[in-house]
Amino acid sequence: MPVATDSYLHEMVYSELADAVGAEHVSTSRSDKIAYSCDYYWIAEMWVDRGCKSPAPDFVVHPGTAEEVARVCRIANTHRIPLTTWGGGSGSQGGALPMYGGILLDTKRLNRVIEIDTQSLTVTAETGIIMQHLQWALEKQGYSTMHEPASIGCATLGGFLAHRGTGVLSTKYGKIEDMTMSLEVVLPDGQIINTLPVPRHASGPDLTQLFIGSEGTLGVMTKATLKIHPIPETRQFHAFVFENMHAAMEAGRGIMASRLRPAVIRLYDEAETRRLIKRVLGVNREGAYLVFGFDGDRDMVELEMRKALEICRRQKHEDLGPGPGESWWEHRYDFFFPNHMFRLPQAFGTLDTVATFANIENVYWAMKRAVEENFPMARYIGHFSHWYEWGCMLYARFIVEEPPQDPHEAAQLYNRIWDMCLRAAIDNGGVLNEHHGIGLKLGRLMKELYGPAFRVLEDIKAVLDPNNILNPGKMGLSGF
Amino acid sequence: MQIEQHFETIDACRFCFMCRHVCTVGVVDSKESDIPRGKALILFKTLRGHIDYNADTIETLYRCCLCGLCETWCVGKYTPRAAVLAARADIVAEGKEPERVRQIKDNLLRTGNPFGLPAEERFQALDAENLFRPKADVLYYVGCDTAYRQPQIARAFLDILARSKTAFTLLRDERSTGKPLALLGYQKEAHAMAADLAEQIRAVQPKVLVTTCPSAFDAFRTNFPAMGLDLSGIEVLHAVQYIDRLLTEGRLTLREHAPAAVTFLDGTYLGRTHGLYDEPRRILGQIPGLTLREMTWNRNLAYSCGEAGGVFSLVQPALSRKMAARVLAEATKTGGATLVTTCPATFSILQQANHTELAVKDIVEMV
Repeated sequence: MPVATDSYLHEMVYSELADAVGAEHVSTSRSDKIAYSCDYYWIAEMWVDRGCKSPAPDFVVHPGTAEEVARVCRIANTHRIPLTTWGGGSGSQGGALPMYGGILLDTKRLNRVIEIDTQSLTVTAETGIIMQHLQWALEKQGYSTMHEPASIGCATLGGFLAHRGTGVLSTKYGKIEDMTMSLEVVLPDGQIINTLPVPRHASGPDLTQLFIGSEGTLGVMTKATLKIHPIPETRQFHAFVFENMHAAMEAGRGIMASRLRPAVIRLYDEAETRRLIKRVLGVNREGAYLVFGFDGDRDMVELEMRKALEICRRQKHEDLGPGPGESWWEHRYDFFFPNHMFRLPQAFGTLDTVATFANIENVYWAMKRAVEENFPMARYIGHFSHWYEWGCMLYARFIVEEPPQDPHEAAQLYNRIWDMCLRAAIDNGGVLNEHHGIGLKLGRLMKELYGPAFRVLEDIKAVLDPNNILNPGKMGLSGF
Repeated sequence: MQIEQHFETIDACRFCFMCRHVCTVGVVDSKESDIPRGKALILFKTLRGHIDYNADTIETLYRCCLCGLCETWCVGKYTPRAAVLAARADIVAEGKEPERVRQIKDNLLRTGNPFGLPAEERFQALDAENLFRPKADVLYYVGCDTAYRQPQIARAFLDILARSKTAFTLLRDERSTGKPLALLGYQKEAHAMAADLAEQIRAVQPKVLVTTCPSAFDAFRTNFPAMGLDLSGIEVLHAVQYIDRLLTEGRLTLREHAPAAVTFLDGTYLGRTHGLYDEPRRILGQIPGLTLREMTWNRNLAYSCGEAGGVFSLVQPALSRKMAARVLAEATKTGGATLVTTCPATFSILQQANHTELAVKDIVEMV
């Protein structure tokens, strides 16, 4: 419930927060209310674009230590005020939006690199650090987390942990949940806890994994220890164009089934190849573009690359050589700048999902049919960008060039597309999301995805956060 | 509103986070409103009439240090700095600028410098009477920060001019270039001040106009031509270019130093704007005894502490000290004993914030 600015409670909460973190780190300014009222969720952007009322915090706080986070949690819990954690705010699911006002806790002052353990190859850092800053600090010493998402400069370590983020090298190095050793978490009542120091044990359920992906609903993660890797001697790429997506998928699946360990595989469907690959990389081809890369010791990389090339050449192909692959790596983040990225007035959504190799093409076609048969104003494109031994992730997108001007009609259309596509994905063995999270956007579908198992999540939430102060209304959990 | 002319940037930046990690102010203060996206959101709402400028949003728009690192990073080549400057002009047009900004403007108009110090004291720290000639091939424009706050930089450059047997003059009635006025939103006043200075410069008929102030250098090179102020036939140089030329022509012998390591801070204007990265390094590289140790963030990615126009530290003193502390921390990591700058305004901020073992020097003091 928003705290009315002319209320006595507002004054008191402000004073308590100022006492907890220092007055210079508490804001009620209009500038901050505007800046924290919109993340990268299309509907939040549309609200701004159309001049709608956006969800705004009553207070923005910037704690500098876990103890200060704990104080803020205690204040929120005592007064039963919603508390929404914000890392970089660049999430696409509305996960950081302060839907019920209250306190917005920006973690970016928690930005210290605490220890680089070169013996165990781990790094411990506070979760408000911008991921690129952590990466640069490690690179100076010859290491990397190998977490290389397009949002590396936008998002914080905590943001990636909160929604199970991934990066372009995930096929070899895993998603953030695979990289994490241990967490420090502030619970809603202000207690600071640590999960076990190592990720593999038989000492009960894994609390680290309980908090990863909880999107700020169960606690505020304040510190994390991650695995790190020596910067590889070499990283080599190669690109092909196959006659169609299926042939490219067979090549990619073949690489994974052979148990080679590519750092990257990206397969662009015909529509993305025609549009994005041409525009960003200047490769003008019909068919499906596949790029992959190996990294590590040069001899090993060359051997793996040779094996992978043999697998790819079994399909009808055009071999583009290493050049376009290198170019893709060099420009891998360019796709996300506004001159290349979809943006308003377009409506667009990333229908990312993941399924086994047996199912993933069916998921692709089912979602494509859902878009094309029901929404003639929309088009559908996709690429497959994070690969596992058993399947891969589909980064499908729908784009509506001219969505309705009326914000309610626009939101209704947007949500209908999402619902139909994701139900099609679930029906064919997919899930709601692979690495962007659930947030506000997809919460309504969580019960359908989980079935009776969703009760377990609700019960955990009720026990840890009985006053429902932490990020209410997200992930399909109750609003405030 | 002038911001209408920047709609393309505002529209692109309002939902884009891609430069947040390099935004100088955003990084030191962690506030979403400080990065180009936050400012673009404010400007978009203002442009659409959803909000008016109020004290909060005005304050935010005067918190941009105009370092331009966001633009260096941007693949889309959008120009948030120009949008911020347009917003400041709009704010001034509405008479809503903060009082301290208005005070700086009044100082500039009254005394010719942003500090409000008496015009007649501008060259008090120099042996000024022998420095003025009606005509000279080389005109040395000293600049406000150098004249009032760091006169040792001017003395060092005057010594270089003497050692190189350069016939030069200063302007007896030198005043600000007007650039600080433009950066604060006072475009008309900036133009008038610049026009007055241009007339003084032309009267000397110099072949070379040289300055130790990067903001002045950019004003002469970029702003004066854009305002239609004619300096044609006059070569505009920053001191590093001039010294580099003297060294190439064999007209200057460098002083020896005790063996020491130094690090060098690239600037917004010399570096990112005009691409003068090699000249200062060539100079430092030739000084006997010195070894240059580069910061990780250098050349076009160098950190800033508010060089633009020399007034950021007056508008945002606490913020500029935080930015300077970040530069000093980065410089300390190089293991160098001295941090060398090419900007007297930056020098002043670094000096105020310096609690490290580092010495801070302008490059002309090293020559």
